[in-house]
Amino acid sequence: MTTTWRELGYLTPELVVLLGAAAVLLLDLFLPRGRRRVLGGVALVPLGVALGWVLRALWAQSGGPSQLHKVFGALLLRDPYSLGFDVVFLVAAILGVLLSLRYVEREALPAGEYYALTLFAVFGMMMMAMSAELITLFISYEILSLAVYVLAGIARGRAVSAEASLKYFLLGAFASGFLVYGIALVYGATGTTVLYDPLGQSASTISGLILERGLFGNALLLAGLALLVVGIAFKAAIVPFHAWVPDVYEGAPLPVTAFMSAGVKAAAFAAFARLLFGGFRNLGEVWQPVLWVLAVLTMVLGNAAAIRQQNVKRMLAYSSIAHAGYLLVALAAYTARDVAIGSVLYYALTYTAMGVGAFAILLVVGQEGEANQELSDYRGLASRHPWAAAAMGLFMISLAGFPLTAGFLGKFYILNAALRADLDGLAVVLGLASVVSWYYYLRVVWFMYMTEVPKAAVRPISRATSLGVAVAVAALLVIALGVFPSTALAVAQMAGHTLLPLGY
Amino acid sequence: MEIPLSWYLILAAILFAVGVYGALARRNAIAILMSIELMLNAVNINLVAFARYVTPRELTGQIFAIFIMMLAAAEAAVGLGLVLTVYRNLRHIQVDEINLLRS
Amino acid sequence: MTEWILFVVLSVIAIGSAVMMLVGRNPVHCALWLVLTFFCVAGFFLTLGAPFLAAVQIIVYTGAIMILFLFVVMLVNPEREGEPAVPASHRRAGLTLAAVLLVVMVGAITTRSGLGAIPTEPGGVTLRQVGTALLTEWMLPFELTSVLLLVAMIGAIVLARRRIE
Repeated sequence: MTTTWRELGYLTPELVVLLGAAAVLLLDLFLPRGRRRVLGGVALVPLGVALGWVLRALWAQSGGPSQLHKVFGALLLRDPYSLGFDVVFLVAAILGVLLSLRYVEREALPAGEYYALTLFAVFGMMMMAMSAELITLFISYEILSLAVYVLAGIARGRAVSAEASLKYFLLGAFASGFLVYGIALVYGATGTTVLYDPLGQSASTISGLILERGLFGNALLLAGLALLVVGIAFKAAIVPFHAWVPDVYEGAPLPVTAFMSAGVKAAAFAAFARLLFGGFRNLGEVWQPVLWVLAVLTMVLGNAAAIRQQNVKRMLAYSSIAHAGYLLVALAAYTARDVAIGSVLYYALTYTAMGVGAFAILLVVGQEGEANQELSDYRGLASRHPWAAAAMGLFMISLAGFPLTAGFLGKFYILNAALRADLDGLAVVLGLASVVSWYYYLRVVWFMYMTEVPKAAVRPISRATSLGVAVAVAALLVIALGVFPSTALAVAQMAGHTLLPLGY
Repeated sequence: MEIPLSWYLILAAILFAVGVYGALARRNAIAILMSIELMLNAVNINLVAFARYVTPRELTGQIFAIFIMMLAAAEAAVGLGLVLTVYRNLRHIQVDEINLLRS
Repeated sequence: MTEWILFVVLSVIAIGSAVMMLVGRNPVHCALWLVLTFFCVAGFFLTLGAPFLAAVQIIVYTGAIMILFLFVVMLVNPEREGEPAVPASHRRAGLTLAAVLLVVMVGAITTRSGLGAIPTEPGGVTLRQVGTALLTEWMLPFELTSVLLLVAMIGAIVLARRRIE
């Protein structure tokens, strides 16, 4: 088995991000202390280059036949699915870096390590989306996890931050233990760790062997699958494995929280969908009811907790749990696979734009720090800072899923998949959960537009250019995805088709 | 006379369960981390046993076990770094007392 | 017969010292009990025909990881504070989950037919085979592991170094 340069070429965006991380680290060594602010700008370069490459690759395939390449044997798959998720990760990372530029400087965080770890985390995410083999998937998952544990605790002087990251780490390492145990059992039951072969060239894959040997009721395999689901559910913050979310989201530096809530979750779902639809598609009847229950629990408890919060940061943390529940609905719709996978990808992209956008406004109103995050701090924002209020309003109604917004279309496609898969009950729960979420999202809008504060109590907001750019990019993405969804949707559908091109 | 595979698997399950109990019941962050290392070791016994019994011609299980050892080392380094950070801030490492965020 | 005796003795020591690690109050003692378990696991690797893994197990776990643990235990000096008594509710929850997991696993292991089988081929993997597999078939995960170790190294340094202003 040889790996040619041509094969390595398929990994260009991943390698660019990895080299970028190395470059940031090395530059950090040579730059004088006062000049380190440029490191954030340096980190944006590989992210932008990788995004350009990915978009070009997707553009080249739209309309024509989609391309699917196996890299390193069967370990990685370069397909529209992985490219589509790369867009999500890279957009989340670019917005995350834009949010960090001033924050890192103000809080005197170690800039070189901060941006390098961000790039390493993105690299781990991109490898996760490509992995079609469990060992590769696991190591990529751990690269992402270790980088994010450190990022969450990088503000070492703040007790809250240190504690949150220690808790996150201990729970995460515990969940990793379950994940590897699951992988070991699946390997023991089938004798392989390769998930599936979309080109149909090899039958000795997990998906192929389940059919060939009739392992449908194999106790070891099912136990392994259950442990795998637990391990990934933890990373995706799915109820009942979500206990870490509020503390960590509140304790981590705000830009890291924004990056985590969008990127880490998208990566977990990218791997989850490939695992379930690729490797374990023949056990769909077994895992679908489990996902059904997890989806209901996640939507109900996420919304119920979000509705009680007076602090906007905590509200966004809990509501991000609810959004993971909506994505689970799409995964449960496995009999409508092609639509379901596309809707996961589309929703992940829209959630990234509107979620990170909302966190960006938190930074604007909080003067780039952790201040002013109570709901009451948003009183009369519209009359003082109409643009910030308008952007926040846009993100809120999109997160709530109002018609004509990107969030609405995202939910619409998930509902479509659920109905096609005859999951009417789940569709109803999703609809009701969204209606509940209107209350807490619109409450923010109401505070901004319908209440006034005396002049003396008005606090200034941040006018940093980088934050403004981040808000503008996120807002434009939300509008574009809501008004002109066809391009993104076409890509998402292509991704859905190529994930399982044979036999469906 | 060779030992059947299931004996190794049951042994690994017992060690894993002991690790799970330790990770949930202990309060000291270092003790929890040790319990997690025990869980990873139990998984490695599984992997090496599967490599010997299920795929004797391929090395997948042993190779994965090597990767897990590397991961255990990496996790220990980061985890103990976090323990030190918390200790410097709060002068203790009991997870139960770590509740600034709850208030 | 010798294999059985070896297996039983190693199992008893491994499980016994793992339990001792759990109940121990003094972190240094816990770490030493854990080292004993690790040695037994290395013994299992030998009986399973994986001598290279047995060596790596001892070098990495007892030589590197546990030394790191002991180092941090000394730094945070736990004797001064001691570990508070574990609330009974925690202990019950942990015990329940661990017991359920164990029952499910043992059930899954014993119902699976064919697991009582014994290997048909002689065991024993040479270092050359391991090395070849690592650098051909498994080259990508091998390289990814180096990224993982780099991330861990950067992370540990960022977290543990003293603030330099």
